[in-house]
Amino acid sequence: MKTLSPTRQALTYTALVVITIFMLLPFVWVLFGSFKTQSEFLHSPGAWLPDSFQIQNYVQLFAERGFGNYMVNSVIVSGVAVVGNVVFSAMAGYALAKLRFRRRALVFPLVIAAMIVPYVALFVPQFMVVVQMGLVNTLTAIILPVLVLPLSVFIMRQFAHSVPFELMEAARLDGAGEARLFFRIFLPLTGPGLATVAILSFLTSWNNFLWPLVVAQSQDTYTAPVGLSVASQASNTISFGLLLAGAMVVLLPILILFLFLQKYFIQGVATAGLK
Amino acid sequence: MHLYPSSRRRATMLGLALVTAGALALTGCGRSDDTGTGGDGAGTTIDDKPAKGTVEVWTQGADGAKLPEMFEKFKKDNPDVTIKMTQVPDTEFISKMTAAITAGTVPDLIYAFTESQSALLATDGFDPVPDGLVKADDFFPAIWDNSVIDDIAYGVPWYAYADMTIYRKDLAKKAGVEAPTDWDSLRTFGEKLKASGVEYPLALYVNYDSYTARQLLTFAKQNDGGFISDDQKTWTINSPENVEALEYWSGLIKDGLASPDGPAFLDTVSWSTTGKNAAIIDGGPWFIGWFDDANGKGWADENLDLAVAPVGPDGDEATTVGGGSWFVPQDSENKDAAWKFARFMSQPENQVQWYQIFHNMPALKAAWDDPAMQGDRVLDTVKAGLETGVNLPKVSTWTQVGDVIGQQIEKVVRGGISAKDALDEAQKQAESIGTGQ
Repeated sequence: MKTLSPTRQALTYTALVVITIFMLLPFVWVLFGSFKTQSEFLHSPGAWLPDSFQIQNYVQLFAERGFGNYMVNSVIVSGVAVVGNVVFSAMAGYALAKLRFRRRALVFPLVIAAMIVPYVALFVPQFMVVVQMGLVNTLTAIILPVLVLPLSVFIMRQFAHSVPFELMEAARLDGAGEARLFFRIFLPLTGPGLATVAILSFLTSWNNFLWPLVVAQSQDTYTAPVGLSVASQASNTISFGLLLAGAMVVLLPILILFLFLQKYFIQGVATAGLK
Repeated sequence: MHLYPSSRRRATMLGLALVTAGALALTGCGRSDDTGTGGDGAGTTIDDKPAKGTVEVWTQGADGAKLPEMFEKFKKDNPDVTIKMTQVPDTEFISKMTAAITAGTVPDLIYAFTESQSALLATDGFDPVPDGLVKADDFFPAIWDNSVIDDIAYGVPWYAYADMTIYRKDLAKKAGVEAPTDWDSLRTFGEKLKASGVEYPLALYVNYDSYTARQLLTFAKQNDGGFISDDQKTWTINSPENVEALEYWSGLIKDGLASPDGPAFLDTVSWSTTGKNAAIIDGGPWFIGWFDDANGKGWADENLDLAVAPVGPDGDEATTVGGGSWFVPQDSENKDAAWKFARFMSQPENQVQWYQIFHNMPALKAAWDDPAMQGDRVLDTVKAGLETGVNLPKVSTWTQVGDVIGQQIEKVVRGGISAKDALDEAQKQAESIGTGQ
């Protein structure tokens, strides 16, 4: 592999550092803002550093605004969504790429179509279905639409193509059944795909706002984004400190998940389109 | 009131609300055939017996955090009632409420801000105010009329506010100007302040959306204009009076008396505090408290003067007003108790108490006679403004049309097109959008 000259290397790193700092600036402003008081926002809205680092916003968020309960709901919803997407999209991807069945050619275009249709068009019928099922104001209703995302199926179907047919045929000749093929051959070879699906489905369900807002009709079933929107309401304005503190709290699980799975995620994103 | 959500988010929410409202018709879940729809409240009366059962209330904005104090008072005279409250984010309240109406999973009672009442009432999902529950004449007309559709009242007004001119007394003194009372003196006020060194003397709304359109509407009304016919069926956006109002309004910006780039909502206080602006034209009463929050208690008293909105060339008065009213959905399971609570909140002593708790001002005229409401310059200015309040167009498409007007206003200020051309285009687009009726 060709190596860069020291000068070009230094320039490259400098450019990357500058870009990184530039991209981190909004995040840093949010972080610092979460320690500000409301009057600081009103007095100097553009200021970077708080007068003094107050943790009052975080305390208020959990002690007075019930944010702990919202976070628990979000963890449950997102946890189930991740498991559902990983399990079901792996199975669907395997079936679409490796199994022969009637009308198979029709199924994948349907998955693509489901990705294309705007959410606004699905919103009302989806809500009516949930109402008819008697699931309004339950976590189940919040989870159902994100349990298997079309994008997850798409990703896993693409990854399934990367698993060589020869390998699977060899295993079949050795007497492996479909279940064994799936669990012992297919799944281990699609790790980056599963990690990608896990992260994307977590992000989708964790950040979901409108659906939980409409389905959850009492605050007991609010998820973190909905709860944050309520918690940050103050008299005739937004309580900016609370909003930013909540944003930091909501961001934390995503950061942690990404830090643990970033290697697989980057690999997954880089290779998903090549299959 | 009402945050100023981004246009994009509001457009998404409006889209969802409209899709949901459309679904009402398509799914047959609308209430047009249900008992009471389209009625005028005749035959429905609410007695004076204590309320019973559970009342589910959906609240929005920060008001909900303090409402339980009023619930407790209500329960003293109605011990068999249980009130269950859910706080809903106010920027998404319409979406949630219209979806709930579609599905029939509504609460028993809600309040809606003036800006969202038309969109909600367009769902046809609310009961008329029962006969004799309250008297229309007891309330400020602009607030009462806001929830009246086809002569039928659907809401019981709860609180009200009026905007005002808020200006720096030290800067005005230095420039040698008095509070503006009409369009001419407003311009002179700005010019003299500019000459005395204030960069942008006047703060006007600069987000070119339905809120800017609302501000223009106030100027238009001061010029005997308006955006919609009295029967709410025909847009009148490009009338000569409105064109004149836009020419006046945009002239203030073009001549450097106001900045087209700010202050945005959050920096309004800091621009005036630092002297970049000298006056907030059409500012809500809550700004007074914000100045104290930002600069220390007493700062507003020491540094700010207040004035009612200036009148137009012919002396027409008009003020931007807003507030909130109580509504009972048709599928409410405990309408009796819900209306009783709405009635309770419309009693003078309770509106005064709510002012003392939350600083939301009474929509009921009589409440302003209470000793607690006397001797305060903010209250006096708001009360004067409430008498000349301007209603927003009472059609479900107002936010959409308001955005169109706002976008055209921006073209006048930044794009160099004439006020006439801008409002002609807004009229054309508004006609294609319709009134939703």
